[in-house]
Amino acid sequence: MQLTVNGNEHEVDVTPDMPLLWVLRDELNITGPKYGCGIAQCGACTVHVDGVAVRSCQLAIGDLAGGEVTTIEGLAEPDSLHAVQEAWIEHQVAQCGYCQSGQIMQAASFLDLNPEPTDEDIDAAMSANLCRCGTYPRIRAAIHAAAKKLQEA
Amino acid sequence: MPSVGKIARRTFLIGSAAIAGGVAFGAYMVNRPIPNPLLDDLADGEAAITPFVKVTSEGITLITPRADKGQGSYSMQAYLIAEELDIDPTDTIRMPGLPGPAYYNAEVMAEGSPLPAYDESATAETIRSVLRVVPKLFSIQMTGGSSTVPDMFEKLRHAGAVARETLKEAAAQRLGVARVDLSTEDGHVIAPDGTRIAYTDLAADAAGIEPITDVTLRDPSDWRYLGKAGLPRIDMEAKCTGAEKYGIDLAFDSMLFASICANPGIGGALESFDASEAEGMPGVRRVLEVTAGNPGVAVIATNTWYAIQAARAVECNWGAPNYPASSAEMFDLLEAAVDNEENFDHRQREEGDVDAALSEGEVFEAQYRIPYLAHAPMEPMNAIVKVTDDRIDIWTGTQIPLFIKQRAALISGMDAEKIFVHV
Repeated sequence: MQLTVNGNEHEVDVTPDMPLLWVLRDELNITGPKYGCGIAQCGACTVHVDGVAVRSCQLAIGDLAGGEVTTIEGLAEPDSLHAVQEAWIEHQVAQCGYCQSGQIMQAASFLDLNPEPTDEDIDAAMSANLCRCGTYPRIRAAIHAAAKKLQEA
Repeated sequence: MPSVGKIARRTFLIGSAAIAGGVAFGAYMVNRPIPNPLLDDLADGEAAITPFVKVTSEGITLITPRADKGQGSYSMQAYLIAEELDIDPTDTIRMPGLPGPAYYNAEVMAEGSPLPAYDESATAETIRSVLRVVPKLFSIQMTGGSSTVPDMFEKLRHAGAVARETLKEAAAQRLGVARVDLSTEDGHVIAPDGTRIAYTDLAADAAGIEPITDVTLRDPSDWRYLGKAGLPRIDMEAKCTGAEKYGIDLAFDSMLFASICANPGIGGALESFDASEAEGMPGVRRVLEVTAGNPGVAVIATNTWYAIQAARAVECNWGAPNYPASSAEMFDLLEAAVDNEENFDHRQREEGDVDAALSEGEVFEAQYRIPYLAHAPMEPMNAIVKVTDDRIDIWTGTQIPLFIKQRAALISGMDAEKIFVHV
């Protein structure tokens, strides 16, 4: 089975019902996407397929249908971080950091759809990405900052 | 009480050691005199080598032995050393180090003592002070109880200062000048004429001299990092790019993956199980009964997904655990345990006239109950274990690495010295 991750093509020999998360982590050793719950309740596994945030623990590799996968490792430009990553560092969002790959991927996809979000928009879009450390207020602040950066860019 | 005096005098016990191509510095501290008979047995050899700072020609490594669970303690421990060592912590390698007795945690026992935190009586303080020494005697290295900074606050700054002064001494001997005429900045010793010698260039020289242990810690007004607002976490970028490696992210060639189906009632028995379906599933290599710890069944497979799927397909008949099934029943048990004459009328302090105050003010009565709550971290429990004929290596995120080491020795029958826990 073939798939494209962060612009690179890979060939994997697994059953088609295997979720994308485990293909990335165990077969391709791309470990930025995290295993938290395995049932789409935490968002730690969030990646982009054709630019849209999806829970990779629920997407069977057989259903990928040629979609291009981007993980947190592939979000940045070659010579600069993505605006969301920059904002995350400026606001010192991460504590343990385990959920943050998913948070950042969710936020980047969300800002593509809604470049000028309100607090309520952010809360609605991010509410399914859990953070056990409770970094939510900084996530919200960083998303506003990233939105501003993207507008100015 | 001769031993008490002895401890008081050696407030700081310091060690350093030559390592391959460099030098390691450590601080080992008993920070207060403690009138405690346990101390009579303290041996002089306790100032075993305790590396917190390693200097080699390749680089400077800061050892940060307390686990970081998101509270920023890896960064804080690095800043504590760097404050005295005069080095940008981002220019260093930070490692938690292999667990060892030298990284014992004194504060966690004091705060984890079975005494109310508000009990400031002389008896309570004496017990706490004894408990601060117990971890040293029993090599309790653990992270918890908000003890990392209180426990490390002096130890790590002291280790940084010892390393700095020893590196200066090495430079002084090389240049033929006095140590007091040298200064340090950004990982370099600065000579009176402005010549800069990198710490890494001094590694071999420093390894050959006695460490300078008579050091004075800097006044807080001179601090560059500590106490400053907005001090960034050193690992922030790695956590925002997916580069940070957690225990669950490590992988080794030909590694197999296990998923455990454990009794949901902790401690309950595994009466029987049927793994016939699981054994035929993709990637499954073996199904084993788990007998150590909580009973269950482990499926070993070629990747995590196959292991999880097959573990779900194992049919288990579980025995009941030795506790009630609901919070309501647990509260009943707790209430019965508390409702006992012996638990009434305990007084830690006697201040003011309580009876008089109660007779004139408004009396507010309330009962507070907190149900049992699991910690539930985002990263599921995991460990990597590599067993060979002559050693066992364990990689896992843990607050109690030495307990893991001892437990692994118990299960495997191998000497604890041959078990290495990487956190």
